Amino acid sequence: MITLEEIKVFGTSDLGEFTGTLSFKAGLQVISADNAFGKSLSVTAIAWCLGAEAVFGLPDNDPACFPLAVRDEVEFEDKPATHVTASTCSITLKHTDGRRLGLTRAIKGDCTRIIAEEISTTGDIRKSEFSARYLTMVDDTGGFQNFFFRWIGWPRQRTVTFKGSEAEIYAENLLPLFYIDQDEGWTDIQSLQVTRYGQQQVGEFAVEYLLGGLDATGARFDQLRAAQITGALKEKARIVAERVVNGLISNGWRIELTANGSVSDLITRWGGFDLKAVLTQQFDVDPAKDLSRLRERVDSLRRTLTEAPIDVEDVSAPISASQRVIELKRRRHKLNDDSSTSRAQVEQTEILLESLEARLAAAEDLYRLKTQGIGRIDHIECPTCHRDLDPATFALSSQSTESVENHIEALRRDRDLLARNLASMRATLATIYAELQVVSTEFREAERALMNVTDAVGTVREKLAQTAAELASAERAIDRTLEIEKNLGLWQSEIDAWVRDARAATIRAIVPADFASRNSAFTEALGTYLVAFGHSAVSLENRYSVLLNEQYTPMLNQKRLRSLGSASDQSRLIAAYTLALADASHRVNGLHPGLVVLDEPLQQNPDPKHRERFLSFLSKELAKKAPFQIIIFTSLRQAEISQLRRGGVSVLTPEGTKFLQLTMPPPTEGEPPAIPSES
Amino acid sequence: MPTESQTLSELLDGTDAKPYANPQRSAPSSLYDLQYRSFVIAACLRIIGRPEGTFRKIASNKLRLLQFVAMRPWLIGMVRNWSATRKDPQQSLQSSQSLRRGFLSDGMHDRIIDYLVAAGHLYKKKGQIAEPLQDTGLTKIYEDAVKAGLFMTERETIASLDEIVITNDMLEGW
Repeated sequence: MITLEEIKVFGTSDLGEFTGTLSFKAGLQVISADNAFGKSLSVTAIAWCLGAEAVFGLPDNDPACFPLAVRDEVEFEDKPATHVTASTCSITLKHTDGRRLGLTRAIKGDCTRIIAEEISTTGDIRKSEFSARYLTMVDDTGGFQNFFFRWIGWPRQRTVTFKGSEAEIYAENLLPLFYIDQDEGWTDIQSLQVTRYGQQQVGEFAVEYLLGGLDATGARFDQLRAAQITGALKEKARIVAERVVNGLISNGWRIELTANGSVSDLITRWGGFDLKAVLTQQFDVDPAKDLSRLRERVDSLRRTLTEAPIDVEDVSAPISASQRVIELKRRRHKLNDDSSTSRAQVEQTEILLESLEARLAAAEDLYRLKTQGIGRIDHIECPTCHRDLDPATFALSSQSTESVENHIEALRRDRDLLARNLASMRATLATIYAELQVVSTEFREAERALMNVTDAVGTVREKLAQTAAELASAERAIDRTLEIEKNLGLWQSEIDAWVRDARAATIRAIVPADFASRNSAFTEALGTYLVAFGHSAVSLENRYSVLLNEQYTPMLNQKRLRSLGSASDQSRLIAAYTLALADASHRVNGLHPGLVVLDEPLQQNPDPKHRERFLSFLSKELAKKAPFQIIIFTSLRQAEISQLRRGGVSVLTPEGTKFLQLTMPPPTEGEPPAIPSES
Repeated sequence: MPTESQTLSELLDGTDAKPYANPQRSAPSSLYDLQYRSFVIAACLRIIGRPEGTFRKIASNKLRLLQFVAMRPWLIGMVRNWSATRKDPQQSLQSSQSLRRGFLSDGMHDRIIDYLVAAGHLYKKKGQIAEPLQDTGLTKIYEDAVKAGLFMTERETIASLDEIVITNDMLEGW
């Protein structure tokens, strides 16, 4: 655990050097100052010195999170605005074991570096300089977060990104759970969470991490990794299955090869899959046998053409050539018919599926409408007689949510069935097209053969022309069969390679995490803090009904707590959540830094009751005796300050109207710069 | 008058039949839900209706077509085709026949309108359906659903119908 001891901002301006310092002690303290004093400036300095500007959605080393007062033009008390030439901020942290750490980072100047001053318990000082953002975690010697995680005692935690690579949990992923800034921090729980790195479930990782559930974060990582490996294997299987099935369909063979089921199911199914055997079994297709038969035929035709005797009385050549043309034409006509019927079926089914999808979307929205209790005219009465109008009088009714749910279920089943039918129809159509292509090619060849035969003079020439055409056709068939055999080998090797890869993929067994005790400590603390803050939906009676769902979102009676209560409850919920996490982490020896910063919690709602409830919370023992540091930056009225002080709350009211004060005027021309006295 | 299920139970009474009820199959479509239909009418009025004085108005026969297509977005292509061929009676007849039969005989629409008129949320005025601008009933239905991001398809369909020319001839017939 750490305590924030000091925030300091200093620099130089055209009017001279300036500085501003705020000092803190352990436990609860409220810093009250007027608006435009510079509270936000000091709050921002905390995130900046921790190299966590990413929480503000800024690129690395961009100080745009700071007000202009330290970047461009500063206004001192009773002085005109003046140009800032350089500015820097620093924070001092104290570890529970007595070590101190000062972190200094330029705001206007070279802000890519953070200077760390470590002070040991014996007073030894070590000064180091780190890169604020560049390789901040990876660089063992120069990365700031690598150093800071070691200093504070935070173990490194791996995560998985949506792109499939591994990443880590950074300080900016943990900060949103103990640092609530004024601009965005109050909009939702972990609203400052950095999502642009693409780490999966980063919010859940952060909560588990701060509660010290390293076995839970480890299990989450393993689970995500396993899901990723499985997902990649399944996707590859789908691509392989699609390629093989489509390839076979283009040859007129339709087989069942799907990537459905788990990876282990697929390994079992595909492990013994023999494509050639399936084709022989289902279509009586054996390319090896076909090749042998075709080669024999080619030999025989060559012999007929070159050396075998020709029967001069045989007049069958034109007849058989013409019969083949007629036969192929008839087949082509039938296939054309089949394809147009099939195409019409596909088109009709596509429209039907589209209509089902639209009906399903409407039913699903209607279900949400009914369950959310919206979209209803609350009370309908006759404007003249003022009696309630019963929809049944008009043969109308409002369906129950159960009825809509049943309808959705029925539509989903119909949709799935229809989608499967459509896939099957498309496959049939593709098979027909493939067969049509083969028949059309054969038909064109037969037509050319017939033309040659009919052009030939005399039975011998007719016979020779026919044999030559048959030879050419058989040779083309050999080429086609060789191509098929090559493709079959390729597809079989793809299936085998997938099985090999899947068998080789090591999916680590997921060790079940024992996170229950940490989770219940957090849940219990959340209930307590919500009651203490006066959240209008949570009372002493129902506080045990407050639960955290799988994403650690607070729920009450299966509804998100965020959607319950009044508008001003939102900031109370966020404050309660943040403090409960710190409290629970302390109880279960978690990894929470023991520091909670709340910036302007009272400005989130102008409602006087909100102020009253918040101040009442601060006066409670729960807040005053918190075993961690709570720093609240706000602007209180004099009466409120007195009330809090009477209640034993430490309220810091910095002097003056501005945080930054001029300390030394600039040297005038020709004069040496003034040297501050040692005293 | 006995319901279908009462008649069925009387017929099965005393037989060895073991009836199995599948509630999913007997659940009515959303098209017959009062809330859904009210939303669609509210959306048609809001998206296509024109404010005139203290009312937002729409031609009643146009509303009849709009709400029918809004609930069946796959028909939008047919309406577009119908509109494009409206000057050619032969082609227009081909593209509109089944659609006209559908929306003209939509009895549920009449009942919903009657109900909303009886409740004072809508008025019938010279072939127009009018919604008082200060009325909060239908406005609330529409705004709540929009805020919750519901019925996007219906809203987009209605908006795209606004870009299609729909003449009185098309709506009233020959």
